[in-house]
Amino acid sequence: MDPIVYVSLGAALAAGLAGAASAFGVGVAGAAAAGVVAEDEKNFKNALILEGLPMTQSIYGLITLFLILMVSGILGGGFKFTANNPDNIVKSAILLGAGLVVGLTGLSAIPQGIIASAGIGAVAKNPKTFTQGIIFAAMAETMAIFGLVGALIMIVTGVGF
Amino acid sequence: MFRPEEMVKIEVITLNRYKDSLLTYLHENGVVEIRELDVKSAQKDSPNEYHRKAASYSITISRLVDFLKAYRRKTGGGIKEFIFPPERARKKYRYEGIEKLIKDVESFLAQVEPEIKAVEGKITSTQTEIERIKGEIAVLELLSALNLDVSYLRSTDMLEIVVGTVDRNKFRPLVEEVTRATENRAVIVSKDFKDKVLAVFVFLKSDYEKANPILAKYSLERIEIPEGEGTPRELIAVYEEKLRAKEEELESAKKDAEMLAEKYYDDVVFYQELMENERDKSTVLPMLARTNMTFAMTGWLPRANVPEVLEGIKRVTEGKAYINVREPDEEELDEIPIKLKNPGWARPFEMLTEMYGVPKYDEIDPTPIITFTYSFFFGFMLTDFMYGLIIAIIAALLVKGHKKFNDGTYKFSYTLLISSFFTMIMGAIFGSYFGNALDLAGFTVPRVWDTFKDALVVLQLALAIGLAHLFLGYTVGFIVKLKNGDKKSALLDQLPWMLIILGIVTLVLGTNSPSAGTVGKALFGIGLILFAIGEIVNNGGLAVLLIISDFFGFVGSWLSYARLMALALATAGIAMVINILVQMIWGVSIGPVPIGIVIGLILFVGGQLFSVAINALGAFVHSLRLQYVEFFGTFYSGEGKPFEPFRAKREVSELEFEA
Repeated sequence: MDPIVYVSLGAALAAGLAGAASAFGVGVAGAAAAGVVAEDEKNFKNALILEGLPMTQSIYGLITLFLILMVSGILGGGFKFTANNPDNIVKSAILLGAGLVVGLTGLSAIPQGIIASAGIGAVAKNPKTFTQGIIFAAMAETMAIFGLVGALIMIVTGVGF
Repeated sequence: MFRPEEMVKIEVITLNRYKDSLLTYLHENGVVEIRELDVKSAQKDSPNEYHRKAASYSITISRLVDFLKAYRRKTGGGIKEFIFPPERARKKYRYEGIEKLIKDVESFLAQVEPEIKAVEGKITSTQTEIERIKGEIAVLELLSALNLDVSYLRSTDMLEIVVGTVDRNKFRPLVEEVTRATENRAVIVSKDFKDKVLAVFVFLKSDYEKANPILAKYSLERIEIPEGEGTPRELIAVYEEKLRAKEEELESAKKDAEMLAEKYYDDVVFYQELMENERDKSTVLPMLARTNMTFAMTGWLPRANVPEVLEGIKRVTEGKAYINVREPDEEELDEIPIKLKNPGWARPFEMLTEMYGVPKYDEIDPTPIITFTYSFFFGFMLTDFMYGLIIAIIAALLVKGHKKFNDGTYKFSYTLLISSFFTMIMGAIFGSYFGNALDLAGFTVPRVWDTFKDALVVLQLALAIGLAHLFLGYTVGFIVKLKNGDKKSALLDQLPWMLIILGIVTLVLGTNSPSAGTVGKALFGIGLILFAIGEIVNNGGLAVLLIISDFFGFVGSWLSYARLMALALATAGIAMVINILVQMIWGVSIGPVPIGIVIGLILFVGGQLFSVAINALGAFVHSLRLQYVEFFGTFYSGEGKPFEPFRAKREVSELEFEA
């Protein structure tokens, strides 16, 4: 395959998978949020913040997309790996891997949405559990953060700016 | 600092006649936590009739408050009110025993309650009346299809007239059955109306008995004919006139309510607070022990308050009291309530400790440590000078506005303010001002590291900080356990990890010198062996599994600090994405109009504000998580009982009282 295929697949999978997962997560939490706001409008602020938590995975995906586009030269300048030689193929395959790592660990947005939705229900009953609810939801994000760290290491050491 | 406030136990026995004033003194003073006293030979105390009255009046008054609150004129509101809320004035009340207070409340209620109830009743009845008139107008509109004088639709001496609606498909069989039952002595007038039929049935009085069950069987919905003469159209005009009059009446009643709110709201809230405090005061009565003449109570208080409280009790009881203040026993260690004690700069951070759980009495209070580490981690994860500045400005305003209340908003803003300083410092080190905005604009920004180009340096920094944080936690735990005489746990749970961390550090720092390598390996090895022994001592046979899982648990905790790097890069990344988008759009112009600059500016401001919000949320959550999960996991239980003093809530009232 040409290097461009690897690079664009990497960028697309990072932002695409993570974004889709975030959408699922926000969706699950949003349904719960709509319910508790109907009970009491005061829940809006707390529910909104909890609902927003599964969104971060899509941001990690977006950052990875931009980094991949930058290091490969698509953004600013020109595509660096046009020649189909082994060196360029290795580098672009590493970018595909980095994108895939972020995309797959970004799936953690779905369970995070489930946790957030339970948190929203709990906050409606007892507003004091707000911070605890956030921390519980943040636990699920750890995997996405590890994925981002891994991807960054792959990009920086494997390809470099 | 580092230790919760020292507590002592107080025991008081005195005469029953001083009970009310002693409890009032303690309630207003608010430094003693009263505990249940179990004495076999004495019975428990219980609330008397005045206490019960206080509870019932607090409900009565809170109903009045709810009503008046709805009609209170709105003052200010908006963002200024949020940042600088006005202080509420406190009214003084001279307390001369609960009997007098209840009498005062009764005379206040006797004056105010009928006035408020009258207006409230007026508003409710007018609203019901308006609803009724609206209903009749709707009926008349329905009847207007018939265009008959409504007086013809009322029953007379001879005739029974029924007006109602029925489903259209039921109408025909209904007519047939009615005609059959009354042997044709029925007149039926009907009009189609949507999917229903409006029908008027006229029977002889004598036939009504037969027809009525049939009407019910076909579920005819009867219509009450509104009062008045003339066709429905004429009557609607009359009723609308009535409606207008009633609405004016409602408006004037609401004006009265507003005037009452203006006049009495503050007073009503004042008495509500007085009554609620009396009610709360009586909740401790069942914790006291009593005889015919005397009562006894016990509780905890901070050592620093002892002289003041002793003096107060003596004054209140005119010296006729037995008071015993003593040190806590060994077995009472888990009973002692915990009041955190920190210098002013760390006090708002107690909120974060309390959210997790306060320390046990013999544990260390981690507030001073997390004051520094939490703020630093927050700054590391946000890492942008301008973001720090924005947060600092908002937080400083809120701190200024809420300081006098010492409320949650003040504490949280204070933690944000401290964190924002670290954010600015980290931002300057990484040369990040709205991300790479200045670089894109063509300026040379001084920086020690670049977030993206030196990403690996950032990762190494993050892991080094993590190791230091964990080492701090294990060391603190080691010292605390050693001090508390728990040598086994100190040597087997805390020390191994300290040695392992030291080993790792020596190995990493001394990669080039063989002697350092040996020392590092030795430290690591000893640590690992101690750890294994600890696991075997603690868990016996299960140790084989737990050694593996606990060791990798430690590795996981350590690697978890990589989030410091990831979130720092996420901030820089989001800012960069926004900046690149703005740069793309900047040069666009339609003819001579530089539309790109306008849209670019909007995008820049909106985007960066979004980025501050989402990244600050991330930094808050993950910095807190590193404290709660990774750091506290090394040494802290947080299983103490928080100090809940017997204290009156005074927002709008102040008690003047002499014993």
